[in-house]
Amino acid sequence: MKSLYLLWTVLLTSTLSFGQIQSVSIQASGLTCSMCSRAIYKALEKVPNVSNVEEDIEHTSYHIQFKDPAVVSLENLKKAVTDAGFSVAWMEVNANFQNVEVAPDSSLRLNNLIFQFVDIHKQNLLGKKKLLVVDRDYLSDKDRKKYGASYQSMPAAEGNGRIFHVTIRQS
Amino acid sequence: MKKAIAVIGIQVMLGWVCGDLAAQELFVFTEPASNMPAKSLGLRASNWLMYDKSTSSLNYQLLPEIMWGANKNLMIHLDGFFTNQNGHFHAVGGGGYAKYRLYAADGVNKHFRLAAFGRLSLNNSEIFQQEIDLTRNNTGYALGLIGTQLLHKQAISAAIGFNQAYNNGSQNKIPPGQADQALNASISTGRLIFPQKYTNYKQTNLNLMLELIGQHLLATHENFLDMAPAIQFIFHSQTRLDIGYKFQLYSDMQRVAPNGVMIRLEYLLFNAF
Repeated sequence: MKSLYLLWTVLLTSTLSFGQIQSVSIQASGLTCSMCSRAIYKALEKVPNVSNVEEDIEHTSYHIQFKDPAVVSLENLKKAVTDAGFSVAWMEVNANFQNVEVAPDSSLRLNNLIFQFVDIHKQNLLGKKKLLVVDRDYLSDKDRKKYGASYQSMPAAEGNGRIFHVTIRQS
Repeated sequence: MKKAIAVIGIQVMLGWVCGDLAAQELFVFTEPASNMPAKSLGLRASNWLMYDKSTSSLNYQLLPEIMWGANKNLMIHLDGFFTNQNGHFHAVGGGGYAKYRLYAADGVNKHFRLAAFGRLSLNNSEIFQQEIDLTRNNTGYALGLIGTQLLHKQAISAAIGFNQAYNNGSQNKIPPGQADQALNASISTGRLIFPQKYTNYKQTNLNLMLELIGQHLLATHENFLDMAPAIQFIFHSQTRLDIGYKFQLYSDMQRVAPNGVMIRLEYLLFNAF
């Protein structure tokens, strides 16, 4: 029993030390009308594991929450927007951190996803932070140019699965 | 009167385009380059009241249409054409239309889209005019390109297409000497008037549209040009009501019923598949 408790504590600490994804925000581009906005809203609602979508029609943006934050798929969210006929202007991962040190090129796992940091300075992440995904199709080409060169030459981060390149957006 | 409307219309069109660019592109008389969302289904009923010059009567025409967003690049329409011409309501023809997205450049509240389209039509009516109309009067096919620019509350679109007409079966042939090929061209613009600011999906949207639609017969070099203003309501971001009036500005070809009113209802089913 004591060893089980110890294992639980270790697991809990290790998880918390990396932080947790809480929600994802997206701005879609290529539309104005509310019919178009509603098409994206309906498509996002249909993505497996999505529990709630809040829309801001005026700014064509969406705030997405999950039934199980342990299995978040950014690809599925992006595909919902593009299948509706539009593009992702930006995608932000909203995460809560418990004092995690990050540096340029460092990577870390949040829930089921691996992120590699670009265009940041060495810092400790504490509390709620917004991670802006800078990969192709997740950010407009115009905005990607700010980050594109800095990460495309970097070696791939360690770990399984796809690596998303992110930078820290000031709240 | 028509001339005055035309002049004002062109001025409004130019004013919109050159002025404060800020629409809407769900045009009433033509298709934009944009596709409907993947996996969605649209149901449309277009009701036309056309003034038939040959019989000096009002002709009612019904065009039911099913539209399907196969994927983000391809959409397909199937339509039918019914009329009460000759005193009884009957089916005259039908067709299929496909539109493929070739290019898309998106920005926040703006986009440019380029699409190719094709149409196949079957029709069994008597060929009673020179105008080639693959929706109402002719068996044949059309191929073309559409480019659409959306800039916030304003959209402008241009389309060009080649039409090939065939005999409507063995009974209703194209009269000898009449052109069976045509080039169609159109320019359309639309503007979002209401709401000024979006707050929820239940707000009724109001769009104003103005379209210029023309045809050039390749063999005989005859032309027509129509103007078509329209008002469009979108309810609950899902149901569309279009009310438009199409009238002839110029024509040197024989046409039976170029002028009339169109009232269309359209319902969009998201994630239908």
